[in-house]
Amino acid sequence: MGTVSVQESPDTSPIRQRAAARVRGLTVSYGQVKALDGIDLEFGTGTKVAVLGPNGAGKTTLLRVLTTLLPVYGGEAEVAGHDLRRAPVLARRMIGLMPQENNLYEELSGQENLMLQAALHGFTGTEAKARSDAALARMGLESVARRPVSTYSGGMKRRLVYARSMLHEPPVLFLDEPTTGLDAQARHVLWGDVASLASPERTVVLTTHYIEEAERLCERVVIIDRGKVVADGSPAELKRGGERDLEEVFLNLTGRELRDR
Amino acid sequence: MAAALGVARNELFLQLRTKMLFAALFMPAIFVLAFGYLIGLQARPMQHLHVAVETGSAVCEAMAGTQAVDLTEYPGADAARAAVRSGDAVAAIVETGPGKMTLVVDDSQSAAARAAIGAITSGLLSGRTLPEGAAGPAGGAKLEIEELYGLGMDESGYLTRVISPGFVAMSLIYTAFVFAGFTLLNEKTRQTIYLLALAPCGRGWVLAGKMLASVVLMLLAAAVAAGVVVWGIGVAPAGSLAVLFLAVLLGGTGLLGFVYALSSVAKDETMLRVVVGVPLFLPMIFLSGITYPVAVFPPVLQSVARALPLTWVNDVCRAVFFHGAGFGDVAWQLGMLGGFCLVGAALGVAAISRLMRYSA
Repeated sequence: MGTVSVQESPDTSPIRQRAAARVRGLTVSYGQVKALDGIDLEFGTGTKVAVLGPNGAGKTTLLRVLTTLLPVYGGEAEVAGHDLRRAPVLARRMIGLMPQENNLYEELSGQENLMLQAALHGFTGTEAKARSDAALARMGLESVARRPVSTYSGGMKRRLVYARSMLHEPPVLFLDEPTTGLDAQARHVLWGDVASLASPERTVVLTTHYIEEAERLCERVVIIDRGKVVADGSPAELKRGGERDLEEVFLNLTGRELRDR
Repeated sequence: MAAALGVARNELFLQLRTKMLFAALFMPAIFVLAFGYLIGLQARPMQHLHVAVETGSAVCEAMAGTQAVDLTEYPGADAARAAVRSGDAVAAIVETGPGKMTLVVDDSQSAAARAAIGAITSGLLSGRTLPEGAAGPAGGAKLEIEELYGLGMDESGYLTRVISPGFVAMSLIYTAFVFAGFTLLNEKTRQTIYLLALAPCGRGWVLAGKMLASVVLMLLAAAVAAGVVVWGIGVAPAGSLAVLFLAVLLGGTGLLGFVYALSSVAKDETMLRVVVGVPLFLPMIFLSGITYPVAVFPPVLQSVARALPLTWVNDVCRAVFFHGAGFGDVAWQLGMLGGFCLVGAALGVAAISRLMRYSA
């Protein structure tokens, strides 16, 4: 297994000069196991970045640190210029997270779930309602807005979680395996929305096991294995070694044996 | 503030959509009805002032022939007390030392009845020339009041009158378990705790929202329990209900905090019942005077009971229902409940903050 390191092409625009998220020497351990082993990464503002890796590679741990759900024990981390140790509350204002799990209040309606998210971000009254309605419409859920989430299909729940993560229009959006469990139609809708997020002010960082998803949606791919960054560059740059596709690059770097047996 | 109100509204909606809310609201009331109507033990207004006195005592001689109370003679002070305890008499007058008289009253009687008994006996004793060696209050002797709780199961309605106010206190146990224990467990197992942890506000606001909703529902549950006691059983509160609800507010908030703290370590429902039920609720159900009066416990258990917050709530409930208590009468209990409230709330904040920090 080798390491591919590709420099991003220089961009001199003022926005892209700012990092949406940055980690330096980030180390996270669960007991004796190092989930992240001193990694350095920087996600430029306005980019879409896919973080790939086998199960247990450290992708989700990285997202949990960057979204303040895990403390920064070793190294440094910041989001939108806010040090996550010193100013986690300020950083949270800039963050949207779509977690792997559909962490919804099942007894409540889709709209009520979104109204909570609005309130947590300080929106009240008509603005909260308008944002929640817009988010539901965005994911085609307006007709089921008043139904309890427990009656939703798995795909509808996933879309609702995505809508919730976008409700407050965060400058930095983290999507943790966003399309897992979705059928082709739902995946298509979600991909379309993520693609539409292209903006010089919005950064999207997603983890996925679907390599074609990373290649299709993101201009940059970071591959993590055993808590370390083993590749970092655009899909085209990562295939410069002559690999057929990104999956071959991935398998060459992370090996072909099962990890979780 | 918007976040706290949003979380509170969310909690209220969640509780309204689950059957647990109705269990928490009505289970204490169902118990009251079971102990009251179903067993046929309704509280009834006192018809006669049956007073127990010791045969041959100075008091007995002094009060002989009075029409104000029905005197019943018993062979000794213990027998006279037992008569009160069993419901045969509403009061006993015993000599507890040279020049010292003690009026033993049934604490479950209303404040008006207690006052009447006290006035009648004091008047009788002071208006007579007591035999030598048994000076009455007018002669400078002290008339002390000793309270006893009865456990009679007869038609006197003792049991219901003793325990029915305790169900207001008991409602706190149900509601704390449901509104704090189960909801926090659900937040953990469904991982909605992540969502709250990501709120761009101090985590104290999130907990304040959760507590606010739980306290509102807890007061509602206490009101339902009190309503059943008043209208269902017919025990009219002699004191201020504001005092009762202040005690419920302080005790309930403290209890919620403790339940949050304990349930934050529970991984499933079974563990929740073990970590919250065994150390917190079991002692309080049996020792805080809800089901059995503290006065009938051995001295060691009485000491334990007196240290339990729910005993203080129960004391206030009984004092309000039967003794016409106002704020000043139960200041000690309210003070202790205020301290318990602060400690519980601090523990709850710390536990949930820790849970949010390490939930991932």
